Amino acid sequence: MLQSRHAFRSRVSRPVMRRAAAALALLCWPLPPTATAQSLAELAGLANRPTLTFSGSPGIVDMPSAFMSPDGDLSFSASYFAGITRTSINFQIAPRLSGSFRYTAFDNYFPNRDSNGVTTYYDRSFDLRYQILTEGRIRPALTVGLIDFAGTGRLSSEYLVASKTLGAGVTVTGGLGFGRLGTRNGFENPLTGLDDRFATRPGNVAGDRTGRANFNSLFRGDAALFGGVTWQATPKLTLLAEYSSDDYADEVRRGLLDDGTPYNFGASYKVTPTLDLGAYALRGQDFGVRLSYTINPAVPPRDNGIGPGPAPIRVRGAAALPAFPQTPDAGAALQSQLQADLAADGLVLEAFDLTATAVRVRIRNTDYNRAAQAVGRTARHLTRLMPAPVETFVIELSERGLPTSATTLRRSLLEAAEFDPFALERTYQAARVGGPADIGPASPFIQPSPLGFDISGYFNRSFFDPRKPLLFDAGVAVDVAYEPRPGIIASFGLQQPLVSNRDATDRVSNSVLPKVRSETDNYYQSKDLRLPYATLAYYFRPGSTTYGRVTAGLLEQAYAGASAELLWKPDGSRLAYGVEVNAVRQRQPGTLADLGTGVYDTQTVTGHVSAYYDFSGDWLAQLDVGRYLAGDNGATLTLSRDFDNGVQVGAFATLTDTSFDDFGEGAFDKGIFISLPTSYLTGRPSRGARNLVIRPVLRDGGARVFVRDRLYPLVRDSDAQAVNDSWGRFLR
Amino acid sequence: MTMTSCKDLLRRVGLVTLLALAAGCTAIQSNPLAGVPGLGPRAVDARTLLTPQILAQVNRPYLLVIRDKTDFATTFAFEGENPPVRTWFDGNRTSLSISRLGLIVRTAGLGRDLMTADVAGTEAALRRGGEATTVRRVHRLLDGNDNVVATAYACQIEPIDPTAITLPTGTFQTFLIEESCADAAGHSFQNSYWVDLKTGSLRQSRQWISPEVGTLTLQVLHD
Repeated sequence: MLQSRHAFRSRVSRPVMRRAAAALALLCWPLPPTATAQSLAELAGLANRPTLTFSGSPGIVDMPSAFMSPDGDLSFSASYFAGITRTSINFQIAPRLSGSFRYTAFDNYFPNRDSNGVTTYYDRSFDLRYQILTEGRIRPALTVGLIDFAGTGRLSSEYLVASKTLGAGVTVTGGLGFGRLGTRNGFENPLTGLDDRFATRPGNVAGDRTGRANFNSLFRGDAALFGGVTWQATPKLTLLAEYSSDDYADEVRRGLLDDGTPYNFGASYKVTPTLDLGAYALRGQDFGVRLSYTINPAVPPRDNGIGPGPAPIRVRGAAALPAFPQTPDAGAALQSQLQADLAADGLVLEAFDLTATAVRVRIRNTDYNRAAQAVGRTARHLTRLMPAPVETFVIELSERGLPTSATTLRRSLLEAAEFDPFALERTYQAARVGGPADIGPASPFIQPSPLGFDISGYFNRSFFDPRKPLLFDAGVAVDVAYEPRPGIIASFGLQQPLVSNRDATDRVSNSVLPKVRSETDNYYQSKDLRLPYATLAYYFRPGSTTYGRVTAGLLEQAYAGASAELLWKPDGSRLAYGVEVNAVRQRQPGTLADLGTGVYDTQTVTGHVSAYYDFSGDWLAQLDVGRYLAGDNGATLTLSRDFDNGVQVGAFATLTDTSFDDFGEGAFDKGIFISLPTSYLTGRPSRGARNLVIRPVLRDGGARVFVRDRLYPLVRDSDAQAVNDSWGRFLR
Repeated sequence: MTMTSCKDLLRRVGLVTLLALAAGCTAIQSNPLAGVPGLGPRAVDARTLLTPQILAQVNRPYLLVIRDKTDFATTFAFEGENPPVRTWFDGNRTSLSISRLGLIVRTAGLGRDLMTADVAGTEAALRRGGEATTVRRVHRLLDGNDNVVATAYACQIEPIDPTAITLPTGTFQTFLIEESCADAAGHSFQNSYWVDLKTGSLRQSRQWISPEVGTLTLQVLHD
């Protein structure tokens, strides 16, 4: 049944689907022998997870192997030996491509630097690995890797490595290393035959090279051989031995380490499917440990789908149903009953339009991060309450009062197909999913409970201040929203810091640009009550494929003003365009009480034209071109792996006409982000997510205003494409 | 159910706070028995609550379902019917949809739920009294990204023996039939059915759902 496995992902049109249905039914009998009942962990191939190195990427102890983690694996590792602490994130970007981000702290690296008391050297590094050849029955896997190719280059090295799985749980690895991996018993670079320039590796250039790729030193200088063996002794325990080609010359010279042997030994132990411990004897003299936590987007850490089941479909004839309401009062009673039933499932009724044979409802989905689940649950409630002659259900989903999709279902099909073995396929083929016929505000609209109120904990953090790698403040946040009618939202937030180490830095911005972001710490240092935002927002649909937003007020902690956005997202198109204009003034750092003198005089106008492209296979690209806060012009490219269940891992980079030197540390703005939906983490319905953005210290080039509720992510969550793609959840 | 018995129940469960009292009573009044274990994951196993007094008061169909992986039992009450399938809910609103004969065709809220099942072959074999035969069974589950994964099993039906089983509501004369299933990759499971000789439907059964959920034991305490 491979056909149905991919049915909900396919973008083929519904008529084609319908024609294919008959063929599908034939193909399903008998099932191809490949279909097996595997646990999610087996489906994702987690049993074949390779061991991770000290640096958090697949390998032996300190040396890389050619193996790849299962697609989508996301590992968080921390390791320590001899005063060197490495914290890393490794992401299997695609089946043959992985990337790591690492933060390394060298204790006592600057033993004489007492001026600010910081003797630790912190180093960020970024690696990429590509598997050139996958492993075959005889052929080993072959992988090329670049370590720290875009940072200070302190760890920079390249390698070509081959690995082979032998019988009895044994793997062998051998590789050729350059740079740091070519420092022990190095020999003349074999590429010198091609070009003499490969013989020497340019040293680190004086000055601040952070954030710039060191392409001119790749694969240059002496090369050396490394290798190793792993043996999976038990399902949980793997023993490791390697010959390392990294002699830690720099650390030895600085007295951080003593000279050692090239032999490293270790053991890797799977405590749980996600938690992995490593213990190592290194260089004949040091002891090291590693802790890794690995998740896979296709395998939720807990059971997925816990929580109340959906209401059973009520079949006409088998159960009593309300009669068609003859009076306005009866109509109102029916509506409020429906409202109450839907509310129990986290669905808010925004509009209700009942005719003799059809009903149209507009629904705000507050609980389910898959659109089809909200549609399915709404349909079930309609079967339980709508008078028997009502045969057609039109279910519109809305976001911030904007209708984003309409799903038309025949009630008799729902009744007939509920427990059909092909229920999902039959409902998918019969449903008509498209844009809503009526794109205007719900009319007549049902008064939402106008005042929304939310209290939560908050945690603001910024990474990589040279004095303190993690600056944070945490406390209590209150969010209040008032919505007099769908689409018009007045809201504000309050934050009361309770714990903070924001005063641990006295860094003063050395930026030569207007200080639009580099003084951002100032906004978080006060421990008094603050007002991060207070806005009035209006959402509207100017046309059947367009969405609009206007927001005004205190847009974010550092900016106030007005923001307007238009999004053009045709149904069924992978490409969407947007335009956004912001006229803002910078807010003065301060507290709630300082509002009166709140903004600086200079007004800035920024704006972007954006293109969004939704690739098949879970990729999303966004390109924004325009003017940034410091008056610089340029573009931001964001690329992310977007799993159907909402897990998102991506990276962004902004290049503007600000020179790398003017930008300062990091050369240009960039970062990586990870978003894990609450539903993925807990297994229970939720539209929330835990977000982690890792970026260097904020500078002034390529900076933008953070406006809440930009349109594209809102629409993408619940438009026709989203409903189609999530149809597997229609019955949940 | 009266308020007194509700309190009695709650005392047995050891729930002392007013909050729990209120929640428990509301749930119980609307859904006898099913509500009791629904107070949360730490609520007690339904088997400890099924005293003869309690059982005597319930005169509607209900099931006792034990999740083998956790050895935890809840009771399910009948909520809706799309003939021939009935849908049952426990106090957590976990639901099981079960054919009239007694085969599970859908679960909701257990985790990696059974989305749809093709059990027509098994059902026919059971109706024929469990004569030894091979049937085809299909389970459809979702993968981690909500795509459908269908698996077909070849299942061996085998009549075992007439067996008397004792449930909290009495002793029943049944006939035990076993179903041993394996898919193409050799993943296998075994279901057991105790067919009630009086009613012809399943009095007790052990039915496998998915690798993550495992096997459920169902006992029909009251028809």
